[in-house]
Amino acid sequence: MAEAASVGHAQQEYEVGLPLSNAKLAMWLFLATEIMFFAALISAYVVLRWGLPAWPEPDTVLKAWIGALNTAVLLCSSATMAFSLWAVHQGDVQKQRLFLALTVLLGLAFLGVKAYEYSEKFAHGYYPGGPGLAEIPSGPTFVSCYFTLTGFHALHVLAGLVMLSWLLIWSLLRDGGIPHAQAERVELVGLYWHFVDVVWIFLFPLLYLI
Amino acid sequence: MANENGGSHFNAYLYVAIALLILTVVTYFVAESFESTFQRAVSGLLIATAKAMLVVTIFMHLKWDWKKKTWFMIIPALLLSAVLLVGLFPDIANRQIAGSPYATASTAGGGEELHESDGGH
Repeated sequence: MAEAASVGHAQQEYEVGLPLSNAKLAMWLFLATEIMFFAALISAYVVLRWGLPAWPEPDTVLKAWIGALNTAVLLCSSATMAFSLWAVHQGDVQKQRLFLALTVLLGLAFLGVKAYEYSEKFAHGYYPGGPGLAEIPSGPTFVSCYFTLTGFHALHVLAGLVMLSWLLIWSLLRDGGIPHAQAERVELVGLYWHFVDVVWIFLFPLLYLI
Repeated sequence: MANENGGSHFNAYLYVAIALLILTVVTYFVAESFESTFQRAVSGLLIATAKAMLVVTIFMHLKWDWKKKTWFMIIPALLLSAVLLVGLFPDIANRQIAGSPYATASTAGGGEELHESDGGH
């Protein structure tokens, strides 16, 4: 917002504050802290892995195609999230509900695939302290890194799904869906969801392909 | 403004979504075609960076919000993350774990022992 100030005979206009809403500023600040959080975990993984003499070969313990499938699922959910924001701006109630529902479903699909992966690891004894660790190189460190990185990421996905479910329920219960005036709420949840997607974009090659 | 906040960006979202799926497939096949860890790491992380930039600039609207001073929050965090990763390289490079392919002849057997059974302590 611009305000006028008079300095002698000159009128100067200056802008007060940032051209961002407080909510958006807060969300970006939060995402900056999350960048540091995951940078710390990934750095720990890098140090531990390349400090050890051996590590499971790619596509042996972790199947790359499952990681790629999960990446595609999360990318699609990011796309549907963006489309839902577009639909809110357009005032298209049916499309906003459809895209929000698809985003939630794809997020649940991601967690479902993760749960399947975890159950497979548990069945083979590949978990901290598990009986199968002797079969894989640097077993204890490997499973600690894998479950810590993917576990924290899955918790973030779960938190995002809670927020997305709230948006979906709001859209379904209100006659005109989420109004255009409240589109920023959808945008803020979208920012968080896209960030969770970006984290997985890096975790996929680090864990599954290298 | 609707245009500023994603009202007219449907086509951009669609093209980026298609590009991201294609890049995911490319990542998988390119990485699988390499034998060495270094080649897999470089190719995988380069493509991952490209995908992340697409998500951040288009889906997260940074392309349109950049002028709104969003950068002052993101750039320091990215710089700190880069410093954190780069700052760890001397630690990894100087680790002399007996039996490690990174141990030199002069320090083999005299370096740090990392015991898997006790978590390295």
